[in-house]
Amino acid sequence: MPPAVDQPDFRPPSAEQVRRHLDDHPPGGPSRALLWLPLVGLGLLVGVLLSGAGPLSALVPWLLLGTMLAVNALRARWMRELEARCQQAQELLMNKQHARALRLAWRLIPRTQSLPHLHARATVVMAHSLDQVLASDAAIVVYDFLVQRMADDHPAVTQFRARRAVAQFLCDRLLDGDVSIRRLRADVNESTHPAALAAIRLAELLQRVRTHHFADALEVEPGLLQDLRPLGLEAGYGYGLIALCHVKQLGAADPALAARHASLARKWWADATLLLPASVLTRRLPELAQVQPSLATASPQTL
Amino acid sequence: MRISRVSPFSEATLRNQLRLDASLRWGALLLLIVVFVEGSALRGAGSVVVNLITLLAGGLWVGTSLVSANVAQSLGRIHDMLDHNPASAEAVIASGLARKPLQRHVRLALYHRVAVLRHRQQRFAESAAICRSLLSLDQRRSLESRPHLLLMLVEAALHTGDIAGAYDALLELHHMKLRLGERLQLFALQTRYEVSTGHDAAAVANLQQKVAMAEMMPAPQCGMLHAMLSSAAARLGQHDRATWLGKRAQLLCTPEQLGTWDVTWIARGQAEDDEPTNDPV
Repeated sequence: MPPAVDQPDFRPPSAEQVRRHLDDHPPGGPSRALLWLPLVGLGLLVGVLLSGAGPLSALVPWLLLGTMLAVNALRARWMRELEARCQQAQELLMNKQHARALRLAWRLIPRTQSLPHLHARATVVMAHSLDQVLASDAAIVVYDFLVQRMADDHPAVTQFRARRAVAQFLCDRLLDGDVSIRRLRADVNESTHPAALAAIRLAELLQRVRTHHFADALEVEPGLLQDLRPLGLEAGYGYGLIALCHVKQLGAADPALAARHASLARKWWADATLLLPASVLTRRLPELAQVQPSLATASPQTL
Repeated sequence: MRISRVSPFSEATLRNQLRLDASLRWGALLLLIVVFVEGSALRGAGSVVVNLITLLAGGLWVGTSLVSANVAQSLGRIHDMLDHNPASAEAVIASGLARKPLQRHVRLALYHRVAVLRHRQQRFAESAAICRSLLSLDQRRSLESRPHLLLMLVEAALHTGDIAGAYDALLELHHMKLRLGERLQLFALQTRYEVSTGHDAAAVANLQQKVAMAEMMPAPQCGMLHAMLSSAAARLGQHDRATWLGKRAQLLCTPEQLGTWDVTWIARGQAEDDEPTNDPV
């Protein structure tokens, strides 16, 4: 049984290891020999049929046909098995068994090289798993790999770019994150998927928090519920960040204003912890650890 | 003339199409065998003439299979189009259904796509009729599409008020080996069935496990399930649970998405209590 994410012997791969693994096993089509096999078989078949009379020429075509059918059946079985393994990796990811999903996806990438759609599925599982085990640097490498190989108008591209931007801010690559955000803003249009838009909003919020622009971050507060809702439970991270921004304003000179910030911080923190436990919020965003103690120690007037 | 619409479903038409497909395909195979056997008897096995005629007859057989292969290739495209461009998907399905002869599984797969299309168009009676026909035509438990057909049938039956039909399909689904995605859909439909039929205690049993399963779903479905479970808990007088579930539903879904599963009573009833109960599940 592989170690769980929170066990000490679990080590996610480094960004360099991931880059090497993906570069060594890029997706490609099926082998040339396999593509030519039916044509070669057909050529042989016609050749034997026209070569002359005799019991051999009556038997060989059927043998050739049988061989081709057997090869196809074996290949179909192999593809079904790989598809089932990719499905298993996705299910492990859904079940939040990120370390196991990551291991399986890692092993599947070399095996699915000749099947690009399965290779892409395994790579997506690896990206999300790395993201979830907080290996943000490595996740960025995989998101880059995916984005570079997808058409610009593919519906998932913006989502991957937005997730990459979030990962860049999570590992404090603020400049890269800023470039990603600017590009994302330019790419947004009316057909952008709501979940991608929500991920962009979360990235923008994270950017303002990581660059200590807490007051600026509060500007997005009015539409935040609607903006982040498509993220589902992950919207909790956004609500937690807004709660933190309010906590940072608790020192306001005006007691009424400080009280209002405290009240809003409590409200947003309650929403955040309604979706995700505080331990999950602070594991991914360590700065959120100060929200609850700050609210607990705030003066009675502010609360 | 290009066909752009699939005509309303009729089981008799489907059965006739399947019979015609089978007749044409087996006819071509029979021709191949007759040519080979007769030719061998007349000219001797392995003669060039017999081989050439066999090759031609084989070509005819392959040709009939190519029609199916072409249509089968469009199945993946139809699947993608159903999400983004249902009108084009219907046109491709209609032109596929007009081709003959098709292999049985290809024609049934096309009708499966028709059922999905009608389901998304909320024409639940037609969708349910197609699902029932396809399920009765191919009763193999091992059939890969069977769970999906049954899941669609349950949902359509719940929409059309056919509670008995929904129950039968749910029962069969419980005896099948399902993938995680299918298990999640089954759980959602079963919850809806239980809440709709007043089996509230069954709906909120093992609530922790059910919430964990709901959390694996996309936000709108996850929120809807929370709203359903909240309604069931409220009817059972479990107000802490109902409030916790309802508040989560409101965070996960817009009021429009929640539709009939109104949880605004939580906001009205608990206006003074800003602090939600901490995980009563």
